[in-house]
Amino acid sequence: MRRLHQLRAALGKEALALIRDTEALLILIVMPAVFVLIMSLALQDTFAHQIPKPMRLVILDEAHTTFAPRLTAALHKDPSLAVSVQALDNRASRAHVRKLVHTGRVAVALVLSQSQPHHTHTPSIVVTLYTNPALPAQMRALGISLVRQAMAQLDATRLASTLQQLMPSGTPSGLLTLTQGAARLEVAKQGLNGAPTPTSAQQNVPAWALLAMFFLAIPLSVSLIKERQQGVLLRLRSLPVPSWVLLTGKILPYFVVNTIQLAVVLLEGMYLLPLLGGDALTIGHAPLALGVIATAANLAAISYGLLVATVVRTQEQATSFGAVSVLIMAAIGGILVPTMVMPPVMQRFAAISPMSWGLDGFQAIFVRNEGLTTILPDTWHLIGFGTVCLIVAAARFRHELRPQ
Amino acid sequence: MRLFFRDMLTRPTPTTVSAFANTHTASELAIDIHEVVGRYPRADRASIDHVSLQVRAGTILGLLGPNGAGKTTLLSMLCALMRPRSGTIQVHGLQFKDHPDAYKDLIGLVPQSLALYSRLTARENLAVFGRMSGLAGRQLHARMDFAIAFAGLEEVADQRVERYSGGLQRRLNLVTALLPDPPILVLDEPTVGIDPQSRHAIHENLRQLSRTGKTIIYTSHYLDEVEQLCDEIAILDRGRLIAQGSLGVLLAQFTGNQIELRFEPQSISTAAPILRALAGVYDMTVATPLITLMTDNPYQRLPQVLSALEVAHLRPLTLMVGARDLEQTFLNLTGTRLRDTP
Ligand SMILES: Nc1ncnc2c1ncn2[C@@H]1O[C@H](COP(=O)(O)OP(=O)(O)O)[C@@H](O)[C@H]1O
Ligand SMILES: [Mg+2]
Repeated sequence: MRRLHQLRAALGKEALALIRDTEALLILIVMPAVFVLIMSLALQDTFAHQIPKPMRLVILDEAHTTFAPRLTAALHKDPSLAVSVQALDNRASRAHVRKLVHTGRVAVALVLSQSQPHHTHTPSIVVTLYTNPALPAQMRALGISLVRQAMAQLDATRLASTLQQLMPSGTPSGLLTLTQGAARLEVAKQGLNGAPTPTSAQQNVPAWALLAMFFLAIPLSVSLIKERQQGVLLRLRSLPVPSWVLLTGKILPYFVVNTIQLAVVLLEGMYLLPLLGGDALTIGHAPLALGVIATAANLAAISYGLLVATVVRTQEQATSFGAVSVLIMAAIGGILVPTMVMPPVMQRFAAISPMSWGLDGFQAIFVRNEGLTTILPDTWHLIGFGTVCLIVAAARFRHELRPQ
Repeated sequence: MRLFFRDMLTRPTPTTVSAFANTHTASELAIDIHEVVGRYPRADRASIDHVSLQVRAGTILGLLGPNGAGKTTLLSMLCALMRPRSGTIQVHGLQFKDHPDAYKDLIGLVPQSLALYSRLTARENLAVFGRMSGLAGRQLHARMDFAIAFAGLEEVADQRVERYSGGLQRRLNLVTALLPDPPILVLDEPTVGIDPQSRHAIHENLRQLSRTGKTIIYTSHYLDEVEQLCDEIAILDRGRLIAQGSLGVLLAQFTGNQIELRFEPQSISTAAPILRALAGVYDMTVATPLITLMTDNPYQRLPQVLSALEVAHLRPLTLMVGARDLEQTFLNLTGTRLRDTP
């Protein structure tokens, strides 16, 4: 009974202090909402200019004609140097290409195949272009236009040489060859496994929501440091209150704040962004999975915040260490820059950032319409990370409250 | 023991200050500190060095000492915030290690620095700490009303604490510790940096609490307030307890052997060597225009002092024999002036 009253007090004071802390609320709820708005709209039009060059592109040649090396050469000659092209070994399979694209290791994949034999009047080579579903629309557009340009260039060259051949002989048989070497570009409307292509909002909304969740480490640790500095913790230590009561008092109110924050940016992405001319956020069809990954990310963020709170001593440390560590996690986790534009070495680092697990989970649901089973590995990662942080934080806090 | 306290706590006592403390007989030991050593991690010497102190229930004990003497450290160990390196502490017969919750229920700590949520109102602070102490419902509200009235905070109870004056914050800081009605109240320099009215109000509060039988430990820098308020005094210096007793006994014991004379400033240089040479004067301090003689027996030596001065045509402006004040006692004991210490 006594513990219940204590728990109520611990929750109550934290909630009240938080509600009256306009700064913290601004950081936690308004900041991500503003960022989502700005970044989603800004990247909508300008992201293409900001893509780090070169963008990685692979070619799988199933047609086994001379077209593949010529296309590769044409892409290589692109004066904008926007792509780095790699022709895959002929033994590579579509499954391998799918993996490369979906893990974000390459931004664009081209699969060259022979067209169906009965369509003799159509070009003989079909170039199918695949992009990572999470690739921002601007990058996707850039990739497509580069491939188009290269193919148009090849077409022009081929036409020129065909015409040259036609001139001296004058035979009509040459007309046939006019279409024979032609290639047709098919942009896959759907990802390799049938999901719709992503929008700027689908990258930015979950990314900034996650960043804000982890940024909560700052106000959370500041609140504990203030309790230390204001002597409140000393008074609490003089009362028969166990540390778990005080920790729980910190977790729940911030959990609610994070949940509100996420709801705000999701609604913003779904309803406000399209009004302002941006892509509307579609959130898939798996509310349960969404709830699970959101809760796991939320708890991981709060546990990390508690860990920071029990490690740092001053408000300055909380602010600088909190901000720097969270920004590093965000940078390597594909929050600030999408993973697929990173070089392979960096991409391997992404897998160790809790924020990338969260982003992966959200994008599986939003972009690829996946459900619970797909996001479970990411969920377990987040829960594991959160548990480790929480155990260390609880041990440190318990030690702090005990007679020294 | 524990059940008993719980019973007292659950009895609504909105109008009386404490129903609990009256049940103690005056001679019962409230606090028994035995040979306690306190040392901070990484400190090269102990901050509390084999201190033994006993406090009877219902006493107001003034704990005096210059800055850094170890007052806060001793109170921290009493309140189970710090673990003694050796020695034992019993509070109403309980040790912390055996009964941690019941032990903490016995002591209300008023920390040296303010310990309040500045963004919350007085009422909200009281509710938080009341619940943390295990109070709830009607009983909590009765105790909160009592605390607000007791500290005279009715007018401002629903304002945020950050808007309070220093004095009001101190008063709230004090009554917050009273919420669960603990039999022992420990105050660490509760009147530092506040206006005389608030200080007066706090002293009045403490006298009222003392009359109901609470045991009060009060540390201070201000000798006069300790003189006015406390029944007993303990003096700490460099981690050691160098005196403990009632005010009268201490004064008699430590300042009873002195004669203090005030001269015209120009006479000091003539008077000092004459006085120092007298039989029975074993020490002398000169602080123009005062000369203080330490003698084996001041009343017996007084005629001798006066006649020697008469011969040199010197006459003191004022003359004081025996006890002067606590400041002097303190100075004699520690060689430090309490107020002058940094
Ligand atoms: N946290 C601490 N770590 C190390 N030494 C400390 C700490 N707090 C106090 N001390 C030392 O212990 C001694 C007693 O300090 P304290 O109990 O605060 O004195 P007081 O309350 O009488 O002013 C001082 O010498 C002080 O420097
Ligand atoms: Mg102190």
